[in-house]
Amino acid sequence: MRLNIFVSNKTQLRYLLLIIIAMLAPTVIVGSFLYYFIFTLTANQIGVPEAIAYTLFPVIEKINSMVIMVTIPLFLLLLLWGLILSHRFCGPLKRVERDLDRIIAGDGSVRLNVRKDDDIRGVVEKINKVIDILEKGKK
Amino acid sequence: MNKYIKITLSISAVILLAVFVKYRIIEPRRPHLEASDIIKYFSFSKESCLKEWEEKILKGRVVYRLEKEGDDGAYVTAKSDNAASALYYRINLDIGKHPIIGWKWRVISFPEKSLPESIDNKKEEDFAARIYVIFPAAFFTGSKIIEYIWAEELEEGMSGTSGYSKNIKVMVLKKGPKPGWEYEQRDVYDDYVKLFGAKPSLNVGAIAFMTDSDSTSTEASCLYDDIKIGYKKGG
Repeated sequence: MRLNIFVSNKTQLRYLLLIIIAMLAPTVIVGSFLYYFIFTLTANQIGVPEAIAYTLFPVIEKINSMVIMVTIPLFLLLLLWGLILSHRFCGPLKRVERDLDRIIAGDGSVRLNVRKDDDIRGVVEKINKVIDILEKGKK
Repeated sequence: MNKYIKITLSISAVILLAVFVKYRIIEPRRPHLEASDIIKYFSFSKESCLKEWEEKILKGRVVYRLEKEGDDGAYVTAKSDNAASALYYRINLDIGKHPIIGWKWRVISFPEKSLPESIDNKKEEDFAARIYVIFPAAFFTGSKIIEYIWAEELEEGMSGTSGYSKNIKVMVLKKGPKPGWEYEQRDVYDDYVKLFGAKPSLNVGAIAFMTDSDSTSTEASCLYDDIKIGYKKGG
């Protein structure tokens, strides 16, 4: 497990936002539609104003307070999950970029290195092979 | 003819007329919805009239049925035995055009209350007759409601807020037993301004009527007829 979960580059921020929006948007849209339609249809079905006030108003109040209570921890959880996912993609990229900078600077002994479970491992291995071929060509 | 006989006959005629009017043997002509545009009129002369109304059940079922009166007249009888259910009619009325609602009603029996009657008492919130005017909002918590009631003890003209919601305003139109039909005609716009203290921003979306006796677990009965919905002349 990497300790530095936020590698602080624009790519990670963009992915982080994308992940959070992708998770939040459907939840908010579907939740809002359900909230609105369930209560509106129920109120229409009940019809009698006193009955609506007596039965639905307390339910609405309870649900609203529950939504408020759940929203903050849920958002924090989504943020953490987004950070982990975006770091999983952007962390290795940052590392590859750093190693490539060293190779460009003339250090031919450097090879790109990523962790075993990183998604771009296959691409990195192929780039390392290309570097090997180029190094052999030089000699 | 003798002058004294003429005077005696005239006085007798006046007394007789007064007795007829008092005991509703002769119905006095009363203004009843002089609207220029009557949008909907429920004379309840046909069984199909009631089918246009949706039944909204709160507790048990109030028996609403048509009763024939003479050759062509008919009315709705509502009998509640420890029940509360309303008849509900959806209609869109432009509030800016001053909707007018007229009807006639007659309470046969009131729900029996152990506490003094009040508008905001939720424990015994039963009335022999009430007419709702509903202003639906985008979300129902914002909907406004005017409720015209026939109370047993509350003074006529009295109004207030229901114990259930600040959006439900109640206006007492009639008090106690009356010998016959009572006619009503309300300018909904004016009543809204009077009850809510502001101009209405929502249109009327439905009207309803209900007789209930569920909170008191007693019985109540009322007759409803001639529900007319329209707009005020020049409104």
